Amino acid sequence: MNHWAKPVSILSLVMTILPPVLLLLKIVDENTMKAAMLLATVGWFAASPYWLRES
Amino acid sequence: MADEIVGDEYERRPVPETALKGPTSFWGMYAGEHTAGTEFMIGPLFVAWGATAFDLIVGLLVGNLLAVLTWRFVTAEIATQQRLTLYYKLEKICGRWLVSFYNLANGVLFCFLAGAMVTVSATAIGVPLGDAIRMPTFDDVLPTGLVWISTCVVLGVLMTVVAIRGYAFVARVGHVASPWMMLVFVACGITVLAKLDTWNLYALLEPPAGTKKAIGFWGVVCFSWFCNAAMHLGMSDLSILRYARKPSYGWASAAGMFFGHYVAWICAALLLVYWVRNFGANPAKGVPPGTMVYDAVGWSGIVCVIVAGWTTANPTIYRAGLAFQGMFPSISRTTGTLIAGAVCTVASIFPAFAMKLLDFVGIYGTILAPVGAIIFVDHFWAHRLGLISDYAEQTNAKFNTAALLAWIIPVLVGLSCYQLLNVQSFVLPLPCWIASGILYVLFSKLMNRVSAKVVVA
Repeated sequence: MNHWAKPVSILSLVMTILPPVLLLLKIVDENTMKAAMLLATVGWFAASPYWLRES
Repeated sequence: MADEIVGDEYERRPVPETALKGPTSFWGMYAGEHTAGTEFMIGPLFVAWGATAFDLIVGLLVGNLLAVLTWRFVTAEIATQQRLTLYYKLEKICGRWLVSFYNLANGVLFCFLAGAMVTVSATAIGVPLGDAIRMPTFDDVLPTGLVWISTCVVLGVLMTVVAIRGYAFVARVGHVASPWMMLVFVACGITVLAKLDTWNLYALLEPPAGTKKAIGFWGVVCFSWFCNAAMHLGMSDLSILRYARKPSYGWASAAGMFFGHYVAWICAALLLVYWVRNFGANPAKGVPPGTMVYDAVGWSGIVCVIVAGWTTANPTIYRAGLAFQGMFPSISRTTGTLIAGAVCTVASIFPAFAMKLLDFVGIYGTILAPVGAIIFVDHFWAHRLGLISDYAEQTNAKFNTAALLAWIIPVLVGLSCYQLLNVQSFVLPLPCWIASGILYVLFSKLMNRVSAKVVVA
């Protein structure tokens, strides 16, 4: 198993939900939120298949 | 798990002890299967129909709870005692011909449902095309132009090819994508709260004064209870839950209901609320899901709408192909899937199936769910009422007329009420289901009496 995959996946899930919460708290702007979510999307699809397939 | 279940193992015998699955497979499968592209349509449709905040927050809670209880105490009980697919159980009761008839109805309705999913995905593909494409609104029934048709055809063909060649791959993508998709739905809801600068979800969901109310509390309860009536009351999920070690695994349906049909619907509803409040969109006409999700969360939203539509349309096309193949055993699975894909693609061009999804889902349940009442009566009451359990198998009958009449009569009455009396389609599955069960008892007593003597002899 790729040891990096699970932490990256979990981080990606956090990065999917955290930016909208930060937007709600007025800590980040909308464009930053969207960019972070896109990055999280790439991270999730790049990392999760490795460990989800094994589990 | 979906691959193994849809595959051809144990299709004509009970699932053995060694093939049973643990609870996590079911929780994951239900969560993934009920977080689909069409959820982006259903939430906004509630807004368009003037549902209040109480209707949505409490009505969906009650309706989804009733759906979970139905899965747990009806479907899972029968599934774990019989351990047979719906098709084989139906064949044992009704004979092969009636199963073929059921396959036809099931296959065609599956195609239309998959078509609605393709339509939703097409609204996401259409976002980068800008003004070149005219996206459909809730009012649209016919195709909106050549670019729209081309988009749907390209998507439909791609999905059909993948359903033929790479179903296992799509099932894996769906499995991988579901936790992320769920969070994107929630992200859409939070983004709307942020953009409208409020934490008051209840106030946001209240329709503006003067909104025409087409659905109330009980309508929302009935819709959320019966939108999957074909699966729980209709026993389609016998095919899945027969792998469960215990009937308590039926509680796993809560993952699909409370994530996909509660949180996701409310978040999707908020998207249209935002467009109505911020851009003055007409709620009755709606806004294409792709446009709303892109505006809320950007490109990750576009990916979510496409993946959500794709990963649920593909298994649906695949299952429709199997249903057609079951009807005409001489054709290959590839041919069956091609036919299903063609019907689905044509259906996707017409926005009616997606834009009238609340009606369509009700009709879907009204037609297919009553079959489950026949299985229910056969399983729980046949011996007590002196009926022959597994009538067709016991008497070597190819056709059980009592079952056909018990299915068809309530469906025709129900569809007539919908068409002629404007009764909302999603309130019909339960009355039709009950009527079907009662009629099956009556017709079996009247018509299957002679055969009973044959069996006893």
